Amino acid sequence: MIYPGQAILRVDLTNGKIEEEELPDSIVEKFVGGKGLATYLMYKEVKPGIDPFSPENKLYVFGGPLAFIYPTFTRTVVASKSPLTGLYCDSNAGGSFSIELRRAGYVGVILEGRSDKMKCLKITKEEKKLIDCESLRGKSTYEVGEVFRDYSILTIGPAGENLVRFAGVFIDLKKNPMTRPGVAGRGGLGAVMGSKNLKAIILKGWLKQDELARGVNKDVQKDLTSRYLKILQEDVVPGIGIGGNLPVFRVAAEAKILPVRNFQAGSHERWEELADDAWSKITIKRIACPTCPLRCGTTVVEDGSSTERIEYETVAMNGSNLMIISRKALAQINTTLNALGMDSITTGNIMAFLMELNEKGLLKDYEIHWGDSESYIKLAYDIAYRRGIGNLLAEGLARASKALNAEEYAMHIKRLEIPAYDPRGVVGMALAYATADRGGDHLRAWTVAAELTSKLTMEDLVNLTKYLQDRNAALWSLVACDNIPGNSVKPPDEMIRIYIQMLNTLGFNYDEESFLKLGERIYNLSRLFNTREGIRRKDDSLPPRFHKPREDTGWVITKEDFERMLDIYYSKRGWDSEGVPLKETLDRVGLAGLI
Amino acid sequence: MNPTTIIVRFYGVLKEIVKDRLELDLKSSEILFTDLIKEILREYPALGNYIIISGEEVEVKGISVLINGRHAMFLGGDKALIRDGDVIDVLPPLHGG
Repeated sequence: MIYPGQAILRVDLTNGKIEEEELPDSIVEKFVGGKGLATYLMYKEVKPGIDPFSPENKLYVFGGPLAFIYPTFTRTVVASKSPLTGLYCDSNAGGSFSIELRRAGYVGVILEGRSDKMKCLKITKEEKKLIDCESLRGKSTYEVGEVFRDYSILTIGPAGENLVRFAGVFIDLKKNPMTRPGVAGRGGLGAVMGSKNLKAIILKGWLKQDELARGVNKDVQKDLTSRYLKILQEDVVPGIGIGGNLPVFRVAAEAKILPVRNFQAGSHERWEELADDAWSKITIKRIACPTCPLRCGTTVVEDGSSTERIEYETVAMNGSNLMIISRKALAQINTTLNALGMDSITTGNIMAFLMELNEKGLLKDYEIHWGDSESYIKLAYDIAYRRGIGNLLAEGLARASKALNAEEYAMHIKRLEIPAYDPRGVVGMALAYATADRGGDHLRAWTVAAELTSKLTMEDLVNLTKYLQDRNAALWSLVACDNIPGNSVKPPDEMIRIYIQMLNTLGFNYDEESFLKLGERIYNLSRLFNTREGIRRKDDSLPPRFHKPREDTGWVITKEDFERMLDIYYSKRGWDSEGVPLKETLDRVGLAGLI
Repeated sequence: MNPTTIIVRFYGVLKEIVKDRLELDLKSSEILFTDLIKEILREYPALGNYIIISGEEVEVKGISVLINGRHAMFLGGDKALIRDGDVIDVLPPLHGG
């Protein structure tokens, strides 16, 4: 055993069996925790071609080995075959869950099969069991959070129960939370949970820090913690704004890369009403995940409408993108989506699609116009409960747009809807979006930060994209928080060196080169999952709109330019011309013999 | 030689250094992107926090450079030729995600 609690809980919801499994050192050495272990186990256990809603699909919920031993490693990775994309998906969320999971002596939980009745999984020192939760059927995430207020809780809302393909998984949502709630929103992992009739996992850990840090040199632990906290205070706290990332709204608006009216424009004259200054004035509370000093969880109140965890993607995708220029309305929207349990990026994209169809007279049987927040809220409920047009929209934007014969207006990549940055301006993100392992995603590789220096060449951009994808995959095996390197005002290299030293205090033996290779190993494995499902070059592509000059600026990414960049990316990755990893690449990254 | 008039537009924090738009009249009919940047940096050295000339190479810190709407890297990068009437957009880096 490399670290204490190097075990998983495997839960078969069909027959109710709950078993502990120790993970072999040979696997833990190569995949560490979090995204690493989840990806490896998912690749081995989830057969290609299965229906994501079938009992054969599995849900992986993983923390990382540094949780509770060092500050800030509180993120939980949730992973499965996505019902939205049919591909690999992982999403990570803040909150207390992974700390309590580690304090219960596990690094992960695997949910299999399907229960015939609604259940919750309860994990305490006294018992690990599936409890009847039929009485919670239909309850919002907040209502479930109140029922289990004294526990760390991971739950779904009605959208997950109704198999809305973009239902999310929500951590620690409750009234007046003391610690920051988290959302694993992307890819419909909440619907996988719903398909298993699992409403929530509730847990209360019991192990003390010393027990989890058994074997760690106390003086080294203290020194690394002190150095890390100093970097956080000096380099990251100045960069963390309201909501963690709301300051980027102003930059995006001024740079004309804000999504406006379904990416038809890049800014609008009222953007300041939704910028960070405006949200600061109505902020009543800033809270943090346990052990983290950053307090990026922001609660706002405007005219009686309050919400927790307001952040950039929700504001941009549902605010400027829909011309809903009202903080009160956006607070209502955020709370509604949290309560119903749906992803705000996907929902914003779907609403924008409908509003544009209305604008162009292309939608006969339903009306919803730019700026109409009341209709938005009503439609969100219709989606969560699959009523009327909501039933079609619950299938996600790709399927809905195909059924409506309007695919040219749908902004998604591999069926995962686009985040809130127009890559016709920040072209460095075009490749990142198209080659992200879970579909249209901006977090796998954030190439446009000021701390990253590159030449104005495709080769440099490709190198940067690959480096960040690999680095972040490694960081998510710990599970480090995206808000931290992303908001550092200096290059985060020293921070990452400290992370590696922290890992090594547990008994690992990584250096910078092998840590990056860990990430490359994980990224190639998630790619293999996808190529096994049939993903090829044609799927690493951008929505048609991005290949057309944008009306307000003329900015464009031509198909030819994009394909040239993709060729270089595949070559750098060691993949063939269709984007399939070559055998020698798999050997080089340490996957030979494992898969 | 015919003079060259080009427009360079700056966005976000870069506007605070340069102003939002430069209209440049240059002596030759075309100019290498690197040489253009050298001219601009001479007048606005604070831009050096974001654009660095290293020999004849341009390095950028998170910023995007578009020439007539297409990213400069597709047009030869720092070897791109800028001609009369061209419009260059320089976008700032972003924090967040």
